[in-house]
Amino acid sequence: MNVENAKAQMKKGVLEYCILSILSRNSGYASDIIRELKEARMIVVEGTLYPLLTRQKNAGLLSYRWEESSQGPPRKYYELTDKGREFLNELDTAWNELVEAVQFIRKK
Amino acid sequence: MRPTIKINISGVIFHIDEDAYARLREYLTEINTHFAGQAEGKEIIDDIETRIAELLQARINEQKQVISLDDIHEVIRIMGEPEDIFEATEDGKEGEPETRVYAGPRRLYRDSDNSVLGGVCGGLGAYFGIDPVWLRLAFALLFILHGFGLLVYIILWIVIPKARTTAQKLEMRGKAVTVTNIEHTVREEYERVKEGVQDIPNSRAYRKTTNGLNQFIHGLGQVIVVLFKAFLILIGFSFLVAGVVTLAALVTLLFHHFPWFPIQSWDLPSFSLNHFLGIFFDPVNLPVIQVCLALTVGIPLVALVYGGIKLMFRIRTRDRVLGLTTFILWLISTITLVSLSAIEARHFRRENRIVRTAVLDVPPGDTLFLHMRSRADMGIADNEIWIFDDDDDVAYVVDDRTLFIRPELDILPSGNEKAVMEFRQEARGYTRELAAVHAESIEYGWSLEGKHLIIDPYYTPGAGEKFRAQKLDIRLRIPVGTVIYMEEGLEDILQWHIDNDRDMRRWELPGKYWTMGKEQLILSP
Repeated sequence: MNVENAKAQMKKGVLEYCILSILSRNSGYASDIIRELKEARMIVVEGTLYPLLTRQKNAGLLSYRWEESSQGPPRKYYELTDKGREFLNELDTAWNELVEAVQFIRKK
Repeated sequence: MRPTIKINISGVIFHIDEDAYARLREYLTEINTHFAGQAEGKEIIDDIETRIAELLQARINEQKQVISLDDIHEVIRIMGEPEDIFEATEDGKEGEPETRVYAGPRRLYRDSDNSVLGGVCGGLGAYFGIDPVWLRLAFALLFILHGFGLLVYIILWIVIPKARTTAQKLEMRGKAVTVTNIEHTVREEYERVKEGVQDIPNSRAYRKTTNGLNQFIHGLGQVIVVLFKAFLILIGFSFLVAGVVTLAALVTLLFHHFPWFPIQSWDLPSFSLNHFLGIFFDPVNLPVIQVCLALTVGIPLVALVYGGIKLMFRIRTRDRVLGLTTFILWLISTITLVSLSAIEARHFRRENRIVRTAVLDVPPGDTLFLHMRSRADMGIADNEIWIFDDDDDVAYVVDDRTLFIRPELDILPSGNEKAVMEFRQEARGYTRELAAVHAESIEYGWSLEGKHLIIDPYYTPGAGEKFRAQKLDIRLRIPVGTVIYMEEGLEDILQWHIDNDRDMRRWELPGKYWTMGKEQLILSP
């Protein structure tokens, strides 16, 4: 049990929540999501995002359409579905509860 | 200019340096390898490839058209090493085993981590899921029983690529080859081919076509590809079997008589091509001829086995240099062989014939009994003989390294009171004089004991003589009124037709008493 591992485990769970949050503000390309996540230091490498996006899409949380790109191949343009929005709301609640719980314990 | 490779990533064409290509391919293979087994794997891989294409596109411009290794390193830095990607995305799915097993199709490689010689047995063991020890044992046994095992091993060594990269090492222990995952592999390959062929309608256009007809055509295409693949494997297998069997025969034939060759105990006569060729060729040229013969016949057979293995295990290697070298070697050996044969053929330029006669001391009017010596009496054991045709007309005796050839016997009236045997000996040579020398050397044995004339079933070209199209016709001339009795079996050396009053075939003549008439044999009552 090393600290890096524990941190990675924590991030992993939160990462999906972050993706949904980003997309709830603006729908966007994978590269947009990556930029935001990188800014927030949630991810280091881009490769990690694609499996998550695909899984969320397959779970019906996201949908995408193809958009032509001036440079390079066409890109996927992601947005939240209704189910995704509901899911996000639940995660929001759960997150708040979690933060409260952690703070409650730490303040004691 | 350095050679570049043209590749297609997500429908975008790139020119890429060879080393950069190798690195990129390795990277993609590892990612493929990991995700291929998951339901959404194809899509994830596509997304990652699309992103890589995008990143690469941003790195080329008017001045810089070719992707370099540095570009690839940078892209990999951005995308992340496979381990990082896998670690971050493995979300502990329920029931999934912790150990990462490569889920793609298994490929045949030489296993250098598990090798005694070249890792052939290790690789084969991994491919077939057998402990390599058994394979090693099998090869060793094959070598002891028949030196040919070594040859097979060497061919495998050359044809099977070594597993160098991590990805290849994973592929080596991939999913076992079964019918279902052959189908899976084929589908993958089909996709690869499809993407390679179509560059303008990129994969997005393809994905959009979700209507039934297209899916049907796609499915049909897959079925055809699967069948084709299976067909190729079958062809590969038959190449392999045919090549191996013929090679085994060739090796036996060529090297069997050498003391170092492990096996000697055949039921067949211990025939040696080397000695046999000695009947025809100058002994000085023999080693060269033997090597050339081995190469001329052996190289196509080895190529057959090689191609067979490649087809069967779908090994994709470029071997232009190897192929060209081998072809040149084959050409040289064939030309040498033809040239030496042509040189040898000069010894057949001229023909000559000599005639010898011997007077037989047989009282006229008496009965002459004609016997043939058995092969055993001539010192030819049946299990040492190599016979070329159904009639036993030419025989080769292994131990003596001698050719035995049937003479032809004719029986005629002598025209006087004496019985005479006439030997017409023919041969070829470089000059007429030499031809006469070869004809002279023909050796043929016979004896007369009282009324019994005993003749040999074969003549030989003579001590130290080579085959020079020798021919021996024997004419037995006996006085009119002499009775002759031919022993059964003598028909083998009788001439095609011997004049007789009953017009009997040659095989009907023995076992009867014949009286010599003025012109022909007359059957005695």
